[in-house]
Amino acid sequence: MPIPSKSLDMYIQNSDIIYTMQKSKNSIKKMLPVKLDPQLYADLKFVAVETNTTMAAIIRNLLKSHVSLQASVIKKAKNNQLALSDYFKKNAYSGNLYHAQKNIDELVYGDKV
Amino acid sequence: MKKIVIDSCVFVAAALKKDSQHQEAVKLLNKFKSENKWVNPLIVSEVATVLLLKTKQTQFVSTMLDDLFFSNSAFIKIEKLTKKLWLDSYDIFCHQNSHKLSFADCSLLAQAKVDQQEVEILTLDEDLLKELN
Repeated sequence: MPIPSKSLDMYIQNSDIIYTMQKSKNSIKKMLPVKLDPQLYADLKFVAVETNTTMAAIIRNLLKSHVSLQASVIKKAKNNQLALSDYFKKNAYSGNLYHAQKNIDELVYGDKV
Repeated sequence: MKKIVIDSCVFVAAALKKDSQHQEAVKLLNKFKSENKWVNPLIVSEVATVLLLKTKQTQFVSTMLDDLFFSNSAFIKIEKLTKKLWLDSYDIFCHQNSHKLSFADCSLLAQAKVDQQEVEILTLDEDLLKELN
């Protein structure tokens, strides 16, 4: 159920810091340093009020695990790119082979193409 | 940065120590450490099938396919075969003079030709090498 806009206004008036997307040179208002879609901004503000936290904290918490995971994946991929030949040296199959004398065409297509 | 497209025979030889071309394949891959490496789904299909036929080790094959192609941090990127790539592959396949190229070989040639950037195909297949030269 939506909060009456009157009580939200009261909350905002009583807050120490108010985040806004509007630029104002002579205002004490603190800018949220991320440009957001107006609907997302409104939702973020609503969640911040309802959960008694700041919008920045919500963004920070949500970003933390996501960025950390993405960074580790990219770092691993970069390291891997440098070591494909090393990967094969370490992980190549050393057991006996079936169809050792047959090449790919003979195995997949039944004969040499 | 140069784009590297890799043929299935390179993966198969590199993945099997007892393959006669194992050392050659590893050495070839060692030459291109930092370049982006690509394949297409037809090549992945060949690698998967041949590794399984040659080792009969499902666990080994699934781990290797995951590391090479399917995990988030996979070594190789799989390029989608777009309609253009399919048609280019088909065109190369139909107009080949040697009669020695599989459709998958032709897809590699098409993949190499579709980009404006410098592309190199890594292969141990002599027929494909002749076609490239």
